[in-house]
Amino acid sequence: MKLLQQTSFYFLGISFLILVGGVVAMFFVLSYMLDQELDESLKHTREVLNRELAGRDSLPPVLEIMDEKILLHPVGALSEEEVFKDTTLWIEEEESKELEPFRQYIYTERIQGKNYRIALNHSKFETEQLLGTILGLVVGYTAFFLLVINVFNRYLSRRIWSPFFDTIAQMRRFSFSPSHAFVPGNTKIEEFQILDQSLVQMTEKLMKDYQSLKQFSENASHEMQTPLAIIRSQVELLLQQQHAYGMEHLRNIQQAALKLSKLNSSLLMLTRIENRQYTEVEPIRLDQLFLQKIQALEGLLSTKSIEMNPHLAPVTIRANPIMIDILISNLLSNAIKHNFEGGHIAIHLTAGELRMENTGAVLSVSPEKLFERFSKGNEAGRSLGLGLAIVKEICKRYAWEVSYQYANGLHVLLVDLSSSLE
Amino acid sequence: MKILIIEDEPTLAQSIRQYLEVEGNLCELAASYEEGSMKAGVYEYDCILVDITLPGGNGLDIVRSLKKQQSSAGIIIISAKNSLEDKIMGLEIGSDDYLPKPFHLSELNARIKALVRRKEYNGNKHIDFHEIRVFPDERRVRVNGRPLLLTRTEYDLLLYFIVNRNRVLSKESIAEHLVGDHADLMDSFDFIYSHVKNLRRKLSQGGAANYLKAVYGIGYQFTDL
Repeated sequence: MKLLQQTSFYFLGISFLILVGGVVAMFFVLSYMLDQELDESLKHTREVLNRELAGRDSLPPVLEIMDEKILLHPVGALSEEEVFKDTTLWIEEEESKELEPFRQYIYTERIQGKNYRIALNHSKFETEQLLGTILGLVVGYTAFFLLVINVFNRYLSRRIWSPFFDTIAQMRRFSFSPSHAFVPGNTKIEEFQILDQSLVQMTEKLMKDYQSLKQFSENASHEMQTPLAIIRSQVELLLQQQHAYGMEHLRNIQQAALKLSKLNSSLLMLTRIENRQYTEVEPIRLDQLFLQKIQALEGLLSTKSIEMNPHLAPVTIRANPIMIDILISNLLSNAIKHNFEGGHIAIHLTAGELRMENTGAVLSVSPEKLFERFSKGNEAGRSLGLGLAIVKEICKRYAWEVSYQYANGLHVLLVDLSSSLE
Repeated sequence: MKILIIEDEPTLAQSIRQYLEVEGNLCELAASYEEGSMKAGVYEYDCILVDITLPGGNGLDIVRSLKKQQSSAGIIIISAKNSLEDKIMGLEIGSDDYLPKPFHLSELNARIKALVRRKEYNGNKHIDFHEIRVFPDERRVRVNGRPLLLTRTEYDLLLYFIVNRNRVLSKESIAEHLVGDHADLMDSFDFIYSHVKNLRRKLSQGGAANYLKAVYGIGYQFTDL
């Protein structure tokens, strides 16, 4: 639920309660006031009625004079007591009888020498109508008022919150490349200014931490490469001496050192892609790049008797040349590395899709794990298990869908390039 | 050939020197930025190897000042900062080559020789090894004056062997020299073996003696008989 909906919901709820409460209170207050009014006029009527009754010949128990309905009941003694109360009386209309609300004034009076208890009744029909009209008007107006306020509030909220949503959009776009740095919006609302300021501080701190971390990784890699270089050069010098018994050991040391340096540089590469370096983008002819790479690999392919079938449509994409170079190299390496003698590789490049097929042994890991770091499909000995992780990372960067299938003895890697077509 | 090695790691500098001096090169070492820029500025060298991160300064600045002086020395940057920016920057400001650490000494040797060869316009345009003569500009080979037809890989292989003559070359270093980063794509022994076999056959058919010696478990050696 959105904040606006939430506040509107509560706002309407409380408004409704206030409206109901207000109308109920108003009903009672108005009723009371109208009754008071009526009582005053009944007292006034009493005097007029006294004169009227004094002049009458006979006094029937029920009299109707003007709007008043008068009930007479002879009593023994007079009393000072007088009562105002609400009551209902049967009223004879043309065809039916019905109950109607009345205000009743009861008092005792001496008329023509006799004591009577008189109930003076005045219809409340009109006052109740008045009350209904007033309350109806109040309810209607208040409801209209609330509706207008609510709609206006929605509109206003949208306007007022727009800097907030701008900020959110910026946060979403945020990355460590300078072009996506956080820029505070232009808002006059203090809270949003505080938010923007805090975000600026936070992103600056992040950038700084990231920079130092990057520096650290780079330094770590640097510091590691130098001892590796020393190990390798020392081994190479020792190899020249050709001591019969040490050669095998030297060879093992050399291979381990070599693998370690490759691992180091692959990891560094992965970190750099993840950290969103290599941001410059330019148009790249994918088909031409493939041809170049395939040409460079021809020696390898022929030694392993792998047949290469490229079907390359001219495709231009917008991406970073270094990353695409790495991507294609890794894809081709992968297809060669996990192939067998006399196998084949097919590359289908069409606008929007790259499909690489290669023969090879069935995977020993589950296909979902294929793109994870250090997951090795087969022949774990030679592979670092980082090639496809790098492929995945590059594809992720450009929002390209990459998927893997195994069918009819073929490993198929699909890359959906449609989002970066020129 | 006079070579200046500006490298702050003494063990590495020493092993480079040891490897290069076997062939009669004269190597001098500089372990800091000051020493490096002083020596590079004062003496004449055929080739200067520069590390980027040096105590006291950045190796790239040495390259810049050398270029400003229009030094004729070939410059190779050797750096552990295997970052593309540094590589591009290094080549842009005028270094002739860039070799990321760690590297094979044999590869460094081959690069130095190729560089010096490119620099010597009026020098020998060929490299001799007994009856074998290689013309690097044209990528051609003659044995006893008769042309020998080699594939690209075989030619690269032969040149690598000849510039690293009498050295034991590991299969890994050979594979990396031939296919660069793709060296780990296959069992390097198979790959090297078939090309070496073909090269050996062609050389002997062309009339060259058998200089190519297998070093068990390690790789190969191209030696004088």
